[in-house]
Amino acid sequence: MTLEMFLITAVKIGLVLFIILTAVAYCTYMERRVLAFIQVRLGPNRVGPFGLLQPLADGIKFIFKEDVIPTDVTRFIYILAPITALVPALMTFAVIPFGDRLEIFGKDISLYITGFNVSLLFVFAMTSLGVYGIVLAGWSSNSKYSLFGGLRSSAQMISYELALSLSIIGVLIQVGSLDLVKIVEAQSGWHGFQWNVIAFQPIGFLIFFIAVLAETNRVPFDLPEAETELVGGFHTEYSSMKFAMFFMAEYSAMITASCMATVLFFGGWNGPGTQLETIGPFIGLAWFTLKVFLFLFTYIWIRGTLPRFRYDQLMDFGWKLLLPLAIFNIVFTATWKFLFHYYDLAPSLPAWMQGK
Amino acid sequence: MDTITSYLSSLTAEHYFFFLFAIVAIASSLEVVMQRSPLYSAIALVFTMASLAANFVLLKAQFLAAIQIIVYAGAIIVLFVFVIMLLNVRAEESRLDRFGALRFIAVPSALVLFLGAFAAIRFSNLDTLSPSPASAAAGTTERIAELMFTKYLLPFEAASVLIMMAIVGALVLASRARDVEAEMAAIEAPAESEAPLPEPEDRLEEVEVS
Repeated sequence: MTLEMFLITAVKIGLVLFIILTAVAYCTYMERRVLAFIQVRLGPNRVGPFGLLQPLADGIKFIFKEDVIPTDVTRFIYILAPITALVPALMTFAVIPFGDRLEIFGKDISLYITGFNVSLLFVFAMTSLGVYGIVLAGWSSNSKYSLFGGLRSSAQMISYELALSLSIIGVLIQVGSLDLVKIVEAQSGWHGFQWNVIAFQPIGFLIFFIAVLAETNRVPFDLPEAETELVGGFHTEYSSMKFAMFFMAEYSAMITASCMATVLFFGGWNGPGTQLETIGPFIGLAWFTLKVFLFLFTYIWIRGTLPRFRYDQLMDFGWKLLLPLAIFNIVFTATWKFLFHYYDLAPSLPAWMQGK
Repeated sequence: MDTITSYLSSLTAEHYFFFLFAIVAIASSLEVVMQRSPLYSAIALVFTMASLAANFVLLKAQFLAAIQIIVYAGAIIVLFVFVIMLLNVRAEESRLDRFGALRFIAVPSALVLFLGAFAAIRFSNLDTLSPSPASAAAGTTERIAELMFTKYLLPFEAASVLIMMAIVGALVLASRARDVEAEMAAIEAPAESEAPLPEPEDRLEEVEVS
């Protein structure tokens, strides 16, 4: 690794972290404004124009609040828990492909930090580690509300992780690679519209999106922090920056989930106009951002619309509906792919489907 | 002295990372068995798995590394932690006396295990940490899938059946003790209490207020 490569990677890491953390801050703003709009309120509009400086004010408030550590907590794990929640949530962005290759100052630069042949599994590994932050926070707080929040969340995340992992296998069968960059490149046909959600994985996407809502503890699956039953759930005993770290972890998990939905099912940076000279990669980046933004909006929209599941309904839904449906999707896709290759149906497709 | 310096200069960054993660793995697995608190043991086990996964990556087995994290750290140990929390297990007292006789077998059997592992590594033709072009593709998903569905298909299926048997066994054990129909009947039609409810005045008790 030369010094130049090292510098380029360092700059990319810094840039991605900065953008993601800013996006996390503005997600909270967007959530409050959109929810207010849905509920016919105004939402935060006092700090700066349209309340745009609200996240900054919140951040300053978090930093300067008193950091209360209750006396009977298991201190080491109590402090470890928010770190465990935030670090894996941010590590996923190391492999997410935001855009195609780009030429800046005569250098060919890829618009992702790194990529390797199992980057999809890396994202799943990191998101599956996210549960520890919640569980450890629940256990170490020495409070029954926190404990119940942690218990619920671990049971819920394990249940929905199965449906989540099975929902993407359809995509894997179609693309034949675990590399996120290759998965995006495989969706570049049909003038930039050969997205997996259109090209034969709508069921997979539906299961993926629902399971991801449960994995990120969002409404209607936000039982780990159901405030009417559990006060604040697993983060009841946390304050100041430690509380903010749980918040940041949750919102970065949301952004990761939106990025993954975009990459796996909505063609990543693909779209009309990405084939153009020089500005093509920028258009790709704009497509990616737009798609991720739409997913984030949908998250908030769902929160403003749906009530919370009951716990037994949650488990029934995951195990008895999503899981069989995901297995059906795998069998269907595999059969279809086999028949397609066995009878060699590719030449009989319409011309616009064949052409890149 | 010269051999040491020449050895050190032959080390690459990969070697240093290997030793780092190996030390973390050994230290945290020691912590797993020596901790009194089951939750700390479980957390140490997560560290063991993570550093093993890192060493798998260094040995060009990325697929195995990712699966290691997803399956062990992400699912199985979470279940351990779940059970620890559900039963609210606190740190155990010294339990060494319960395994009195086992203590004397432990050291020789550990020695045998160590010698066996040493022999397996020493006399096999594994060329660890010197990735040759032939072994560069050894850990990829395609290579593992190919081996799993051709050469090792039967052991693979046998392992699946074994796990299936464990699941069926667990279900039988969980459902045997319960008479579900009787329980449902009890829920739907609660038995009338034989004794009549006490009158309200009988339930009150006069208390001296000073």
